[in-house]
Amino acid sequence: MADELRILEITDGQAGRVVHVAANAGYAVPFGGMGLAEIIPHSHDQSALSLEDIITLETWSILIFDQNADAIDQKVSLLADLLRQSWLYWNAKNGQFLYRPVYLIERAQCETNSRYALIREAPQITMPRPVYNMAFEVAQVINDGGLQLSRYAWREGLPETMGTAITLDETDGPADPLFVQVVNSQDETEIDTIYRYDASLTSYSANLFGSDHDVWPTTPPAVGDQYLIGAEEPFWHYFAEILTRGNPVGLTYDVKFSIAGPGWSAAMTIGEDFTEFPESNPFGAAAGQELGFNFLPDDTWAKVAVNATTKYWIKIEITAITTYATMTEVGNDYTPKTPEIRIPANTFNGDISPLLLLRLKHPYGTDDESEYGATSRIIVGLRQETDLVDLDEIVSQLICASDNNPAGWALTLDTDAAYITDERNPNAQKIEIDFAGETTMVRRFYFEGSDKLLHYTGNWKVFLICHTDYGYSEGEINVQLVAKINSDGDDAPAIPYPEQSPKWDDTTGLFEIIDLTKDTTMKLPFADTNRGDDYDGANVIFEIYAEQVTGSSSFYAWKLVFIPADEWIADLNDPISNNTTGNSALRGYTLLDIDNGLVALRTIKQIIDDSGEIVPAETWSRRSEPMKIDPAREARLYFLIASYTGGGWGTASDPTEASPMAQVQAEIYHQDRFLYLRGDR
Amino acid sequence: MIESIVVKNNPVTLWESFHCELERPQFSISQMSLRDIGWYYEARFKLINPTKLDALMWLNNGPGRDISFYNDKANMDWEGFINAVTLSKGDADAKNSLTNLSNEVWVRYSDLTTGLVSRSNVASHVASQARYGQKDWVLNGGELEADEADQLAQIWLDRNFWATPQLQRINIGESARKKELELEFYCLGYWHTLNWKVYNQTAVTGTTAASTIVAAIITEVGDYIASTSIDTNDLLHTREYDADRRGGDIVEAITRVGFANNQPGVCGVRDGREFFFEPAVPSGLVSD
Repeated sequence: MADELRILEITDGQAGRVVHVAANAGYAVPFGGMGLAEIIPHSHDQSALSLEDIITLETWSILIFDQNADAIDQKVSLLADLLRQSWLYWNAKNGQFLYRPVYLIERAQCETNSRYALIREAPQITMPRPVYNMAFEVAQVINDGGLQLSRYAWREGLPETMGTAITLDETDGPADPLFVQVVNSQDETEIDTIYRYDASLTSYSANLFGSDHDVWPTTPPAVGDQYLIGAEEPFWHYFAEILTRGNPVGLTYDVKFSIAGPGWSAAMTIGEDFTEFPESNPFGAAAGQELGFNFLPDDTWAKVAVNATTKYWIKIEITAITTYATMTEVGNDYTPKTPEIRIPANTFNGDISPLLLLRLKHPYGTDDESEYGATSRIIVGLRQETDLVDLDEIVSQLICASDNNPAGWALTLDTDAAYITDERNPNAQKIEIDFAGETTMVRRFYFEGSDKLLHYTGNWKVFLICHTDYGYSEGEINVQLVAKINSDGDDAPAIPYPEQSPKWDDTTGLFEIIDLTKDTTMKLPFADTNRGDDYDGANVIFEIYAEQVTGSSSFYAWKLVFIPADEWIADLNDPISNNTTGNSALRGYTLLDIDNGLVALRTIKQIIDDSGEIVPAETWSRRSEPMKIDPAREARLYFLIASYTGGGWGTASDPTEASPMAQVQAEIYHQDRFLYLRGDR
Repeated sequence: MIESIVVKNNPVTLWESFHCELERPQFSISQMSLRDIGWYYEARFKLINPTKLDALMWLNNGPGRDISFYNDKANMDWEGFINAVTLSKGDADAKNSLTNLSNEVWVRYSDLTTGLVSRSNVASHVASQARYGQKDWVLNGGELEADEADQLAQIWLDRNFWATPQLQRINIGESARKKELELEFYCLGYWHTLNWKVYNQTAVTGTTAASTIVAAIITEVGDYIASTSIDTNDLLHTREYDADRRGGDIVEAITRVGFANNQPGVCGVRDGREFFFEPAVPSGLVSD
């Protein structure tokens, strides 16, 4: 049974700095003395939201009493000092670092859980003059004081605390995860084979995939021992849960991929061709985490036979070892292949959008080079389920290949377009447009989603991941998105979007991102929608047009990416505080916090130091409003992760690249918010 | 609706490393304009309830910084630089502006000795150019001796080489009661930087295609231009300029002449500081 006693306190969390209003400890509010609570249910959702809209002004009558005037002075002084501190926290230079936040704690009689609200300021305190006041001079009571407080919405926990991460829906990894690996891929590839190779015995293990196993064949392992991961089609990530923490000392290894011969590539370069997660040499990471490798073999990657098993292989081979007393044991291995986070319905139990912190942890590998191992841009958009829109019907990435797209999506090639082999894309294919037959702006290929229009209603940002040939110059080729409804015919309703030109050739921009909806969004359908509209059987078509204005470069398409832009979208950007070293980019031992006020309203890069402490580093820009989620509904966040090109750390004209090996580990922290009571939520 | 304003360091001179994102509750935008000549042209907004320290920081160091505005779809709606910051407190206004800043100054005058129209020596301020970029100023000296013209250029430079807050107004009347601080930003598109430098060219004479001249001008005066998209325009224009005209003014004049077939032209500086020069109507829509 809930505690019957009410709670009403003003405090900054420190002992001795609590105004116990409800505890009869010298402060009190007469019955009816807190007035009415004014609630505008939609105030937090209004598009014209400003700080003032989400602040509630409370007006109280207040009693202050004690044994004598000196004691009353201390009580009044404490109250005034706390409320002064509340103003300083929000308004003083560096106030949120120098001062503690001041907040209300409230729980109604027989309400199960307490509520907390940050106090912004006290616009006014009124007290009767202490001289010639009967109540004060005779009874030592301030009996008709008044207090005004400006406070934020009720929240479920203390300010500046993160709590624990929410449980997400699984994507490709274990069930009920507290974190997921978000990548730049969306395909159907599965890892299905893992071998250990014992160099001393020159023998392979059985297939270890799907079972808990030691990473290396012996304890300690030896130079030449190998860990091999295989799949039927190209893949770019390997992750596994660390069950037992190993303690390698002096361990070095090469990461290679299989090539025709059969043989192995040269060792891949960390930061450029592969990254490690969560840290350098992840075999020593703590249990409970996931260790991972992200890699980008070039187009010589081949399916070859290893141990009589023909797969695309990644091999990790030991080149040096000092000691390794406890072997690393892993389980639940998989390849992440989903560019999204899935938040279950009813995760958030408040009345309005919760306070949220999206934490993205980055893999290790890059130093000061602008390469795939560093991240300088993350585009993320939110879409929530309704009774009409099924999130399972939405895919964020459509692959320019003959297979590997979900059911319901068909890809049709048109003028001068053909599939060519390239192991850097799902299905080991991409589309080449060679302009041999036609150089003018005509349709080259298109995706048709059968009965998909309903689920894609709304506004979207659309990006094409592509490249050109060596020697290409900007302006030689233009591309264009045309969205159509119901059919791909010339007479179908259609909206063409502005033409865009790739900027780079393939040596500088192999996975160049072209914003096909630059300065706008794609809106589906092309008119305002209504719940009464009938979408049954309505298809949506995305056509790519291209022209070759001059030159002889072909155009190559990897994938088409859709980021929803209605409910929330952000274009998180590296401030490039140093364009020589790129020190503000995400790299190893860093994470990015996108915070809508759980700790503070900020988008901040943080560093993980040697002791595991998280240290604020510098601010990124979000370029949009703070994140908000409707508490009742299932939600998905869709990502596109990008690096600067090999040309440097971003000048004004540098686009960014979305390589298949990009990855971040995502987790979400929150506090629910309430309009009036919290009850037992 | 603009959700975010991002302010960064000057992207060309890189004299500092600065990055700041203003959230929607912090600002109130009163103007944001685009024009056919110039594209991102000017913008004005106020910072709501700034602290005193923040206000002084913006007043002193704001001019020259890069600024961009983003809407609720994370699209950029406007881009340029902070040209002026005005701090008001009811009884007084202070303004810091780049408008009159000049760090490359000379005088055109009629030489009293020779009777020839001449230019003085150029007075330059290296530190100012390192911070703000080169900003030319040409004075009309009338009839002067050569050394007087040089002195005039130097005096002007000495008074105008640095952007410093200037008192604009003092009001000691009833309306001067203490008020909240107000901070207003006046921003210009990077198009305006094309008028920071003068364009003179006499080495090559005659006429040539408009697009060739425009490209040459941008090369010469476009210190803030990161890339160009210049459509071919074969209309002939003079290549000789010797009147200390601003580069942007010349480009605007050429653009207003238009393209072939009486197509009007447009030009400006758009996203990513890309200069463009093209027909107002796409070529595919124009009948021959």
